Amino acid sequence: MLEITNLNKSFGKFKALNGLSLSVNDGELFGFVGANGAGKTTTMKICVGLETADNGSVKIDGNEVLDRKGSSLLRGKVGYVPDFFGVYADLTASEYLHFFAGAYNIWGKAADSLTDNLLELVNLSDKADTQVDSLSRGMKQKLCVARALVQNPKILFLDEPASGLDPKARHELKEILKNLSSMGKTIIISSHILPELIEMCTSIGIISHGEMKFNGSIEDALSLSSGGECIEITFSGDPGPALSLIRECPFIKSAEPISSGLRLTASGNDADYTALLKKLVTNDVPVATFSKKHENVEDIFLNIMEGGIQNAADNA
Amino acid sequence: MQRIMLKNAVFLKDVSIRSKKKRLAVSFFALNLIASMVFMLILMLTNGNFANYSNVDIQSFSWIYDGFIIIECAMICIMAPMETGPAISNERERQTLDVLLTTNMSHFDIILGKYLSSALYMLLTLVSLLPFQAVVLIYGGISLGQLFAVMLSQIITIMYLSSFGIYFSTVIKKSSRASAVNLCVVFLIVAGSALLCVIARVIGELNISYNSSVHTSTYNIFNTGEWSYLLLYLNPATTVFDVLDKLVGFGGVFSSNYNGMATIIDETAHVLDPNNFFIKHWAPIGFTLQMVTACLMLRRSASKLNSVKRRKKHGKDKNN
Ligand SMILES: Nc1ncnc2c1ncn2[C@@H]1O[C@H](COP(=O)(O)OP(=O)(O)O)[C@@H](O)[C@H]1O
Ligand SMILES: [Mg+2]
Repeated sequence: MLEITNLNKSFGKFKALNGLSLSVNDGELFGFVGANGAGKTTTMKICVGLETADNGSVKIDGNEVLDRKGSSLLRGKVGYVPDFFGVYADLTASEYLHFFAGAYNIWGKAADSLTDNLLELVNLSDKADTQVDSLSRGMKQKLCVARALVQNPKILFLDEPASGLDPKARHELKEILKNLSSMGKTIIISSHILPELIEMCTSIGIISHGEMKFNGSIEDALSLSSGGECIEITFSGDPGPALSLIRECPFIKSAEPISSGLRLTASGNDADYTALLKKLVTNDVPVATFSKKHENVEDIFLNIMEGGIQNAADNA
Repeated sequence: MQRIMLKNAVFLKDVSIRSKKKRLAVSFFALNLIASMVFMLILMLTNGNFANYSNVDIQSFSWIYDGFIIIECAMICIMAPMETGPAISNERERQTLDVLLTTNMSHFDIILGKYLSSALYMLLTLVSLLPFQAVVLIYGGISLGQLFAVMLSQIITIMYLSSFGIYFSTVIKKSSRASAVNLCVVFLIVAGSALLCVIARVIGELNISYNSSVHTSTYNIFNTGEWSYLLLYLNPATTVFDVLDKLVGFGGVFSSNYNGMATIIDETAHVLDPNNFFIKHWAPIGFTLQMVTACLMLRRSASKLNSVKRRKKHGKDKNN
């Protein structure tokens, strides 16, 4: 369990973190979202001991890690993948991991098998003897993840791990992280792109200007969206009486045209939607597709960040 | 916890990276090629026909040896700053330092690993040039023990100058700037302290000859400017000279009694006594002071490695 309470950090007069608090449960895949400059990197650096906080506390399993005593505790418990690669170009992938094994005082046969296992875990076994600088970005990023796992940490911090990766590498990284999560590791991933996180994270935190705007499960975040859900219907021909039929339903709040169809803002339950679809079809409306969609996640994200639903978040 | 060299990951990594580079072999080859050509030239100039053993001039060999050691020391003065300049700053530039700082290695371990790997490289360079020094063994005049004593004084010089290099590599972010600053620092240590000494002595001489309140009986190290000699303990040129003059002789440049720094002080100072214990044992005392300084510089570097200063457990102080 990672608990951050009331963290403050100023760079000169600029307040980078402003009483930031958040908590992440064990085994969670936590998405840490915020615009550039919101304070994600600063928070992570404080958590891994690379930056000091002005005040506040960071506890891992109830133990304070920001003081002198905690810093050694910290080293074994957290792994950190910074927002840059930080690799030595002149080493092979295997030598790179051996080096970090040594830095954690793991030598000889133990280091050999650890390196093999880690390379396998991130699907880089065939690149063991390749020079790091000739690896692709995606491979370098995977190698960095492997590196952060050398000391078998409980919590893994990844700072914008997907930025600059192509979709395939992104997907592969996601699979690796899901796999690690299923192995019981707590993973904290930062990103400035919410949709990227939504499909794999179990909970998210939204940070803006050094303050947490939201901390909870994905479902909670989505339910905070003001307008509830929306329904998108497309037609394969003349919609005929569709609009008037829809207007009759009390749970439909508004309807706006989209290309060859309509988008409805709704607050009903699934049975209501079934009934609506049935009504349309029995009235010979040529329905091609009928789908329930969450409000655009990016909009929710912006809303939360701008404090639009700040109160709702506080109530939650 | 301090680790021995063979369990220091940074040391092992740097040594392995260095040994993989072609630069190492090429630079050793070039260095030895130049050294052997210079050596042949000197032999030919000083002995005419060096194939004829009966013609060999022993005195000129000790001259060659002295010259060779001086060249090696000049090389150390350039290599130490250049080798250590990028040591830490390069890791900072490549952003690998942050990652390293999150591992189990203490700051001092990281500094020590960097320091020792740079020093080892310079030591290997010296060793590769050892055969040329050994030529003097063939013709006599210098024993193997003396040869190693001189080498030890060079090694201490490497360790001493490198510690400054590591420090400035830690506090300066750009590696090219760190190397440049390092060169200046070595210049200040070697030439600057000597110049300071000369200036202090000149002022001291003017003071005692024109200041009517100073009489021979009231001379002290301050009104004569002789305090500045004590700074020279930290100048590796003086310690190496002391060793070289006492063991091999400097060809009677300063006098024929081959007493190293004691000779120089005897001939240039009023107050300092060349028979004083500290002056007589100039080299061992100088080396000790230099090694202590080196240790302090390394400790200082370790504390500057990360600007992070951890708060005391119950400290309420804000550190901005
Ligand atoms: N070392 C520093 N000195 C001064 N300002 C900094 C420093 N590090 C970060 N900042 C500032 O703090 C804010 C938060 O930065 P950061 O945590 O890197 O944001 P994010 O990772 O969310 O993009 C930014 O406005 C940045 O300019
Ligand atoms: Mg960032």
